[in-house]
Amino acid sequence: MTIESESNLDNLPDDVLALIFRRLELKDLIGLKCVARGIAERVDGLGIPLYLSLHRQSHCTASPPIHQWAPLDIVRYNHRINRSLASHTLHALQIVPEWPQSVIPALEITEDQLVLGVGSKILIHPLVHSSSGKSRAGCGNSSGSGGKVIDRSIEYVIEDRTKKYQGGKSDIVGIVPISSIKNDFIVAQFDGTIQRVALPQLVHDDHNIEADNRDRNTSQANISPRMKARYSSDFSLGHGRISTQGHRESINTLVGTDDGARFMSTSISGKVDIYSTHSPWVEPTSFQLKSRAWSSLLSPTNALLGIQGSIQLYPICPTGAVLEDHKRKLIGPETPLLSSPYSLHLPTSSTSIPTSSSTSGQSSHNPNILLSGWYDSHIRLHDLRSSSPLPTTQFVDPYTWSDNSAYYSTTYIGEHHIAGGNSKHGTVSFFDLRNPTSSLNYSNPTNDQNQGQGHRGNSSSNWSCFSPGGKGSPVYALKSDNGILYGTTERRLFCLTFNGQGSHKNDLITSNLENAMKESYYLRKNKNKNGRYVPNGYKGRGGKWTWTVKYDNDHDELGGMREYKGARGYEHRSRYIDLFDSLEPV
Amino acid sequence: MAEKKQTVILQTSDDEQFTVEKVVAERSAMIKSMMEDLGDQEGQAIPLPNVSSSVLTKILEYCDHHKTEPLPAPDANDADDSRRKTSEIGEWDSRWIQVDQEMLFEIILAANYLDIKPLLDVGCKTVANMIKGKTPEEIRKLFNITNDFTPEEEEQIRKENEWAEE
Repeated sequence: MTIESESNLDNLPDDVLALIFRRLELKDLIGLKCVARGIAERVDGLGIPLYLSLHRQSHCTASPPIHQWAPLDIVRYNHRINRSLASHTLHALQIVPEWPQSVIPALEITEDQLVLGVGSKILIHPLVHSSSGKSRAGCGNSSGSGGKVIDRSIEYVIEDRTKKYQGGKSDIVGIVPISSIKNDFIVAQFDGTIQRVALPQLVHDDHNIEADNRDRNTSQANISPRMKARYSSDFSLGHGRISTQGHRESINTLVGTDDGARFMSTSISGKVDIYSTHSPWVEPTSFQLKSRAWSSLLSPTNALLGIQGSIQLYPICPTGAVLEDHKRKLIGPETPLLSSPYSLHLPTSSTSIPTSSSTSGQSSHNPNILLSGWYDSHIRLHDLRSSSPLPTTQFVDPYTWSDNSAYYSTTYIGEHHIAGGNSKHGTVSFFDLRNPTSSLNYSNPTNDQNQGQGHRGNSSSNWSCFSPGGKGSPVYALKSDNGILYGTTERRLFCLTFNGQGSHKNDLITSNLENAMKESYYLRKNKNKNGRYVPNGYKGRGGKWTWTVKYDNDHDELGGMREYKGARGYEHRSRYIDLFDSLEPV
Repeated sequence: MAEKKQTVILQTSDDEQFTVEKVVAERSAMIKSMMEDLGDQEGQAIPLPNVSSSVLTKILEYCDHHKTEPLPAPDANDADDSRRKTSEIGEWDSRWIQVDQEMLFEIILAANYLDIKPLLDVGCKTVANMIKGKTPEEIRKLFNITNDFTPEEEEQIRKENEWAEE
């Protein structure tokens, strides 16, 4: 008798019970809480923290800060985000006023800012704690938010203000936040200028949004950043950046490590420079590619460069030296097909399971899995631990594929999902990593031959949506955190939320930003008669979406703000289009 | 090794002695390291005070069946990650582990004590598979657990957990 009571489920030792718990799905784990007190305590004390450590998501911008949340609340919040991604339950909003000219924007997220490079300006949208956030997150199951609120932007002009705006020469191509020093950024401009700037701190860092209103309105005035350093590899041996014509060579990409300790620039002739941002100054490590890089990525251990036809991977020593002899090549489609990677992405260090942990967990976001977006409308995953140059998995949206729309941007989101921004129509595709597609299944999506792909029927967790206000523009940048996807099209920032933000008034944008958006709407409405601008991706074949799907929301004469809200989407089905609408933020 | 099979003597909690081939006993990382510590002391029994003879008989059956497989690396946590992910159990293993529940938990505890990782895995997978998809009431019945919640408490907990249903 005593033996029987000694060895049962609820009194196994922790290490053994953990082995059982780690194999349970969330539903079953939570279900055990209803069984009896003893086992419920084991679930709360052991099962939930274990589940959380195996199923991570990035929550840099959570409000209140994620370390103040109970483990069960985080698990529930993550579950909600995952479910929303699978069922395309989202709020969509464009953040306007839109920018005056079409640009290729740079986008970064920090703990308390959305950082945009728009032309020669840095725009900072502060992310502030929601005044009601704490109570909402606390009561968990309510539909409340758990993230910071986007405030009106502050502009910083990087270009010398005495110079006139010159057709994109001084456009910002990349921004790298230095995580150890708030408001310090590395900024690269197309004309070859790389500098470290300190953006002047705002005097008020008060969490009370309403009190900020008046100050913020005046902060719209241009503020000059303080230049702290200018970087140049001119002294380095061989190819300096001074070209034969006597001016600096143009830079087309700038990326940094997550902590901003190192950054890497690529020039249009294919020169790569890796700099350290720590003092003392050391000369950058430089090497030359055969052709220009379309995309780049810098991790603490690898420099990855997307060039024509392949991704070049250069291992980096802890000292910063690049092991050129050990470079590897990753390819997209199998030869003889050829494509080029336009976007490279690895999970951020906060999402990925620490490698020191005994298991890499069930999360699909592994720090060794490289995500890339390609010219041939595919998103691909490569396992950096594998010696094969081929991708492990690939994903296609049948409709953007049939439209020859390249992927310009990619990101991981939630626990199992990836997103890709297309070069046409402003669409963003969402794929469940557990549900890969192969291009063969979509060889002709509108053709009946795919009728037999019956199992695809349950693959509807892959879907796409038209970014709010994107209207045919490419989606140039995507970033995600805390269950929100932030993206940029050529004129605006937009966000798609999967964490429930947007369901309460001012839980996604501050009233201050909302007012700015309303003002701009009325201004623009009056000017609108002299025609609308034609977005880049609108030309060519892409235009057909306008009659297939009416994705440009009606102008609502009464609502005013309605134009900025909501997005239309479609599920990836092989034979027909299943449309759905996003929720409209309050 | 040799023409003559090397053996080792194991002594269970109920003082029974088992003479076992070394390759079989080595499945247990714990016994393996004890054998290394003891060296070549012929006839010295290794005491297993936490394992009964009935459980050891069962476990030796498992070890014998798997004796030709490569031993997992001493710190195999990373390597067996892929195996852990799948909830599938080999055909022989799944038939072998069809035992009553008391024996199942005894096997798991013994596998933990003896440090036989693949066996511990099989046991924990089996329990996890038993739990999967069951209602709380079914789980109580299955594992003979008494419901010590009041009906009101139970209803409230059920409500609190509704979010995880999907």
